Amino acid sequence: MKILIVEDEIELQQSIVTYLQKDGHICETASNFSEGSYKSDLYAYDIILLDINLLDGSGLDILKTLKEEHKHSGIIIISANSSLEDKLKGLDLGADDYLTKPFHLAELNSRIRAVLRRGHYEGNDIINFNEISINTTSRTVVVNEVDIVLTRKEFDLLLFFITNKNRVLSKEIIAEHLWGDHSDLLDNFDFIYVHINNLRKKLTNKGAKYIQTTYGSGYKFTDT
Amino acid sequence: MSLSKKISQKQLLFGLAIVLGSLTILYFLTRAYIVAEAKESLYHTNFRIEQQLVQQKEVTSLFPLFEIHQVEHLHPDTLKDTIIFDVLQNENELFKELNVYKTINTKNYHIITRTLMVEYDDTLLTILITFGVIIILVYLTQFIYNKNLNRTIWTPFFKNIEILKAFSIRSEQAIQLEASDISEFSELNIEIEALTSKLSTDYHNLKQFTENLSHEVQTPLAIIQAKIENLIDGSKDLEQDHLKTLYDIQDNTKRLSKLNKSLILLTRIDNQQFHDVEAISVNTIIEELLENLKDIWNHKKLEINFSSRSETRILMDRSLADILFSNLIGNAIKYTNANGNITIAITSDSFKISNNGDNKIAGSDQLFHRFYKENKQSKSLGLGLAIVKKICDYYNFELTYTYSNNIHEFEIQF
Repeated sequence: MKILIVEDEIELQQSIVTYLQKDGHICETASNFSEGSYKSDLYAYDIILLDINLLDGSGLDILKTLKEEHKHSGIIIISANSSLEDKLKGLDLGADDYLTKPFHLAELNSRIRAVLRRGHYEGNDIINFNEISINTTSRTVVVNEVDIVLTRKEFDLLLFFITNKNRVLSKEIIAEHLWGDHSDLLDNFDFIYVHINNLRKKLTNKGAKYIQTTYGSGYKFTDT
Repeated sequence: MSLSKKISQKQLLFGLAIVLGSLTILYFLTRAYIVAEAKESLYHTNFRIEQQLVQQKEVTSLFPLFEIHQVEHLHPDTLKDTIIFDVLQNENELFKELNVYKTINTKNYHIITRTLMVEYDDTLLTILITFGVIIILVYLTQFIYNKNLNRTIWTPFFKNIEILKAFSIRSEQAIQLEASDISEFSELNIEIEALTSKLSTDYHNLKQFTENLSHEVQTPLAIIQAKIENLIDGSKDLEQDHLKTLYDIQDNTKRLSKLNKSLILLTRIDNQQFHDVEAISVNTIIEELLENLKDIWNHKKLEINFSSRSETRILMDRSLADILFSNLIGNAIKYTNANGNITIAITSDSFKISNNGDNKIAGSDQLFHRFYKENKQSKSLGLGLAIVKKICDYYNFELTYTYSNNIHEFEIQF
């Protein structure tokens, strides 16, 4: 996929590029408003990551132009402003998602995948990983052509794992993805452990052994 | 005591002292003058009688005004007060009496002259009363005049006090004081205007600073977080303890970021930046929250009872409503021991959440303070309840905490 990252903080921009390139995405960058407008106007991207507060202009204006020109890029706003009004404004203008800084790259990745699935590639609501097949619309999972029943959070967890396959995910990142701001209600991460274990059992029973425990307190979904 | 009352009171007391003092002085002065006049008149009469005697004319006595007696021996002259029964008035009267002994034409005479003091006393009294009445009249007129004058002069001052009372530091508008042509008052106005405008500027700068700072902090945090994630992600060569350190850094970066977001929220409520109000169904919010957190409270084996008589709707900002209830319910889930009970009850104008807990909160009076932590080791930020309190204050909800029979209870009266 071709992704444009409009972000004036170069270090953050480069970290995003590094992370996304591993999945084989083609990443282009724009470090200010004019570069962002120019590139988004001239080329077609599958996804545009848009920082709102650029030194020489607002990312929202780029968004407006894109929508006026009926470009079909998926747009995710990344902003330091967590206020609901800004978020609603961005979404009203036609952004597909809104992420508040600081965010986890794994979270960004999973949002990018979700945006790509939604709308832009019709009929692409089936994700396949070897013998596992996930339908993101009906929220069902089939392993070796046998349905497995997952709870809501287990389904989200599996989806998160597969969109971030071959990457190390810490318990904190997983907890935050699943419960958002409520993740700090968990006194310890035993709870995550129990959750992951349940999912692992359900998958392993059907012959899909992909969830690995890594050093420290991380997990990795991989077939290698 | 008000200024004008105080001034009036002092003025009255002072006036009374002046009236009494001046009347006393007047009394003694007038009296001395009258006595001197009486004396002069007695000597004058005596002199006339002596002249008559020298010319060897017959002088008959006229009791009690004067008497002439021939005597053997001479005595020293005296002047004294004496009381004589007046047949005419049928009462005792005070007389001033002059006794002169003198040898005239080889004869020794005792000449007594008297004058009635009563009329002098009447004169004295009349003078005193007249003077007293004049003084009191002048004084009273002055007093009433001053009082009215004070009222006019102080009017801008009192108006300004009311304006100052209504002044709010949050207000964007500069304070507008009533002008006065009295230099002290206009000086005071200038100083107050300067002071309040500085106060407002400082307050708004501080507000701006807090807001900017919090937003600026988010970007470096995002960079740190992204870099660590890339590091962990390419971690094939990392030692186990290095990985552990990276996770710890990640964990604390997240805490810092949460802290920052909470402070931004508190500042935004302080700055009154939540204007969108809608009728929020408390029932729906609670049901959604409980559903969303179900895995967590099921894992702790908590029993949650939620009861409501009817649908309760309150007017507030949606995001604040989410935060309010999620903080209170989250707190209950977090601090109730495993297998414990949580009871949530709502009525048309209140929300109550209680959970069992064996220990009383030590600093229950500081419970709603920022950064208050019951347990210092806890990773909690100590901002959750401060935010709850702030939201309640913002909408004038009454928030109370009680602990009895091993039950912690938070109640909000809408």
